[in-house]
Amino acid sequence: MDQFWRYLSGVFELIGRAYRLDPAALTWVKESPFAIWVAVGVALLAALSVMIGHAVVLLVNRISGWWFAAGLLLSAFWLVVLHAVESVVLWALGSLISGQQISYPVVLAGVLVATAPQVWGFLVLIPYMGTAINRLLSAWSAIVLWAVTAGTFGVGRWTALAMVAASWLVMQVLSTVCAPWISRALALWFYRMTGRPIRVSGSDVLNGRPMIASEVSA
Amino acid sequence: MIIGDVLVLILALMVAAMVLAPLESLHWWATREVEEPETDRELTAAIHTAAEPEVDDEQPRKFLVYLSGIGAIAAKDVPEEEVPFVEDLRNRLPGYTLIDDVFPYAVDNRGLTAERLLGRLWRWLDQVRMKNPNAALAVLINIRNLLQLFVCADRRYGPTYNMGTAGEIHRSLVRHGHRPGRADEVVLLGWSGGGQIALGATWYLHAMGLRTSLLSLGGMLSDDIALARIEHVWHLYGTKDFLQASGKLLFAGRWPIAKASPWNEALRDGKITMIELGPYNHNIKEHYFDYESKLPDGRSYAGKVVDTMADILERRD
Repeated sequence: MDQFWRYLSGVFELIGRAYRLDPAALTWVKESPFAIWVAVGVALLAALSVMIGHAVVLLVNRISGWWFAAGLLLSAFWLVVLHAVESVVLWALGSLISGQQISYPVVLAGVLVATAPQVWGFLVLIPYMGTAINRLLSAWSAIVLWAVTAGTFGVGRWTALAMVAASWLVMQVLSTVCAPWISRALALWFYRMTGRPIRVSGSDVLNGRPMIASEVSA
Repeated sequence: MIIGDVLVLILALMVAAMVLAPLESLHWWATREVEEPETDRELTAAIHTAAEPEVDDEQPRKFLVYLSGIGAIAAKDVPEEEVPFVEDLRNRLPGYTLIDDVFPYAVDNRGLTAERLLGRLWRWLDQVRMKNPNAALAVLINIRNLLQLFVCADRRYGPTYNMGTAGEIHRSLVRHGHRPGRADEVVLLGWSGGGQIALGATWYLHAMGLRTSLLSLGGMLSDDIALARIEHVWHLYGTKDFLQASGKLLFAGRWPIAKASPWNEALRDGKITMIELGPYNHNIKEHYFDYESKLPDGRSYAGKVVDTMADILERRD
């Protein structure tokens, strides 16, 4: 139990360091007794919060119970895939540019630490301001990643910025290209399992007009 | 130290209220297929009773639907200053059927004092407000309803929220003689937060075949997509009313830089008429419902508002 509390305090210590853009955050991770698992803890906390923030999409689709949990896990899984790709790109670019042999787990830890601002991801639920908060948190995460990348590879800040921008671009391209296919596959899977179509956004609700038919026929 | 803790606690409660605000309408949306059959039977009966035409069946009718501000606690439990104003309007516009039984801050038209999770809290606050209309605690009612306004204006939650309020407005129209399918004319009169709720509902009311326009009285309006479907918006405002003016700042789609926003497109299309009433406040005194304070021309503040609205609707006809 004592270990658990020490681990938890380590997770919050790391979140605090990430918020302060502490370039030595990763060094601290390496020296802490749980090493990479502390960074994993930050990412898990962030993922949980982001999942709560995105729960609205599932609620709009009238998904509840186990389906709700499965939907949240799927969206979290997709986030993990995107960040894994991001870390691979950063690792490849960093090794190429800095000429140093930095191990992949160190870079991965950096990417995980950069998700610290997403611990506030549940605030995306706030009406009207939620969308702006989402963008703000993404920008904040990018800034943390910038600081961590500069510290990890020992490159200048502008080089680090270019590396982060490149990895972000790859992540965006992947997201743009793959997301529609994944959405379609999920929609098909959902339809086969439940027998009803999935509506993925508020605008779909607007265009679907499920109430109007019953109101007019009344 | 204690003050600091109290402030942190208040902030945490505010954030919790903001995060939880959309859940009521989302829960309604997620469960409406399960819960509606009961109410649907009652509704169908009400529709058949109330839809008996009182006038020539082929003549489109005109309705004025009043949606109260964020101080309302239920459809019929609104701040008392609004009551004579609504009656005045009813008398001035005999050609319109005036409807005031829709609570705009709940998707199912349930007042805050009805059976609901926090019903006891709202009933207690209602009593507090009845004893002292200026009680500081009563501001919780305003905050709760203000958050629903933001739910309505949100592109993610708005579609489901507005579907609920449009449904309730439609049900009320039917109760008051509207026959579904007849191209009746509906003017939504939204005071303060009611302006945005009315605007949001327009999207669906239009889809139901109703010609809908909006009279916004000191309304806090967003750049709602329903502006594409509305016939016209008349926004009546006072120069000292900073609350309605805050809409221009809060909602980015109303900034001049957002050229392609629904608001700016509607402005370009001449769908929005801004009418400056004079040195009106949003509330306290010299406000839109004030029958005691007089303007230089001898009319009361509320009297001028009624005159202006009557003039708009009569000229339009």
